[in-house]
Amino acid sequence: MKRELVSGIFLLSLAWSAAPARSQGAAQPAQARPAQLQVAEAPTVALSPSRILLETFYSGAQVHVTGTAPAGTEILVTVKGPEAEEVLNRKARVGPIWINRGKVHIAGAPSLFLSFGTRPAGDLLGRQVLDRLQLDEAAIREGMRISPEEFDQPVIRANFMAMKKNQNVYQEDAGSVKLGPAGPAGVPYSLDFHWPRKAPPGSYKVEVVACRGGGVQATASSELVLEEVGFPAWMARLARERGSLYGLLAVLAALLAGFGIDFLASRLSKKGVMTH
Amino acid sequence: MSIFLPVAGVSINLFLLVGVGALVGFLSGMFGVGGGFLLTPILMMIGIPPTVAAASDSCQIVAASSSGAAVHFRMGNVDLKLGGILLVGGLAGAAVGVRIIKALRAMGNADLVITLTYVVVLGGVGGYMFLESLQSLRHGALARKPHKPGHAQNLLGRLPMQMNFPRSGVQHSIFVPFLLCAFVGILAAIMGVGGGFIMVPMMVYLLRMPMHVAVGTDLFQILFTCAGVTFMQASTNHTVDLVLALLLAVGSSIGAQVGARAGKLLRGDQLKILLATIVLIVMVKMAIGLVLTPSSLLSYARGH
Repeated sequence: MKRELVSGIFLLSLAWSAAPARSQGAAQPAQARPAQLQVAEAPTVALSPSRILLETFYSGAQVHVTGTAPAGTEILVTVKGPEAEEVLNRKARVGPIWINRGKVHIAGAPSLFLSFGTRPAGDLLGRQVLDRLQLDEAAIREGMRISPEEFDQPVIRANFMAMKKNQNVYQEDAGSVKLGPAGPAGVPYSLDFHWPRKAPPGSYKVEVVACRGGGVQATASSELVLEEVGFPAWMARLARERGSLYGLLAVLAALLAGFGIDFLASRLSKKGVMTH
Repeated sequence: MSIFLPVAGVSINLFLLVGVGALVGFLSGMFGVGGGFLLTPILMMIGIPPTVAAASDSCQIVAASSSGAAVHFRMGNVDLKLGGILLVGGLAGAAVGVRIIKALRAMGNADLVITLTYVVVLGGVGGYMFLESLQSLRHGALARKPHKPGHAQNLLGRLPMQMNFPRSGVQHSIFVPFLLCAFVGILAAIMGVGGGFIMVPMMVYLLRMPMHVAVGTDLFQILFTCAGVTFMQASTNHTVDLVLALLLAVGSSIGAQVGARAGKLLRGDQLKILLATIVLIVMVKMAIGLVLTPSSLLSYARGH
């Protein structure tokens, strides 16, 4: 019953957002059309790789997204990480000095947000659609929940976005999705991007939105998994599950490194390689 | 060449980590400071989560201080007897400091106290050491005449349980180094640093230890303090990244070897003025940071 209700709402939202824009511009989604028309013409999406392995010498990865879009549509691709509440220090002025004054809790923002399009998201979809489906940074900024509520909300939102962009985990790149010549199966599209090195392990949702006339014609999604394997996975598990043993090993390893290098240096010193 | 750090969950250039470690290790070996005040912000700047940066920093200090302490030990610069008392006093002080900071946090003004303590302590210690060393360098041998005991030292000399520390060439009541180190431990816990920056000047000016012995003895006690912190952070918070710590440790151990040898080339006065300059630079940077509008009003919590 619940699933049917959710499906109904989803189809209604698709129908509403896929409607052609009014003559004033693409920012306003227009009248709804029957839902069955849009779901029939869905884009396809394929990721290469769809699984990124975090091995010892991992240095990021190049991700290739390909597929076909329904004829006459343009493409917006978003990659989102899971939402998790973040607790941050908030600086405030006390007399002449700035100090950390209280904690800010921010929820409802993805841990990672990458947006790529054939054009800027604001040119492809109306503001209401972007906000409802959280398809651009402005939508993320306004959609996050901040507590305590008495804090200066616009300032906190702007600072949070700036911090994420500075870490390269929030990126927007309009014009990076390339469309090919239309064929019988639709219009082929492709996107290449460098996966941010600072993105933590986890499951990320890649969503392809076919846009027409300021609304959503259809969507397709896929999952990109970032997974620790081998030595890093073993090490992370040991740190998590056997903290005391791991702590003991850490101290011993550090002592070994310190005294080992001292031993080597004193040997080199005796041989005259390293002099006082 | 990048390497994936399993606990931090990020990939960082391997040579950058070793290089950062070497820089901090050099300071550690030369001045007997742990380098935590410098390393944690650098790690945060290159993308390590703050809690992992602070915890892994302690682990690398174990390596750097063991390497530096070993060199100083061979040079005869480690006073084991005094170091043992300082260690016990420091741990007792740290336990009291942690309770103070907890109470301040509950009252909501811990950060203000921490920041002001930093500026006042670093400014006071650095300023005094700088002026004293400058005077000493200017007047040369004249200034290095034997120290004439004042009223305070006469009073300290009458305290019970006097003990001779031949390695340092001083005699004190056992309570003097213990209480002094307990005080530094309290400050270190409040400020969230190892305390080398405060401890070395205290040893030199209040305990009247020679600069090189103060450096070696401080490294000896830092080694034990940071080993304890590393173990507790790993077992309680699971935030020690061993791969990160070992790469930093390789760099810092090499840096500490070079630093300890470079320090030997300098006279005590020269070492003191260099350390005082670094302390004052850190203090001025902090003071400027306090009054200038920050680039971001949000920051990740570091943990304490």
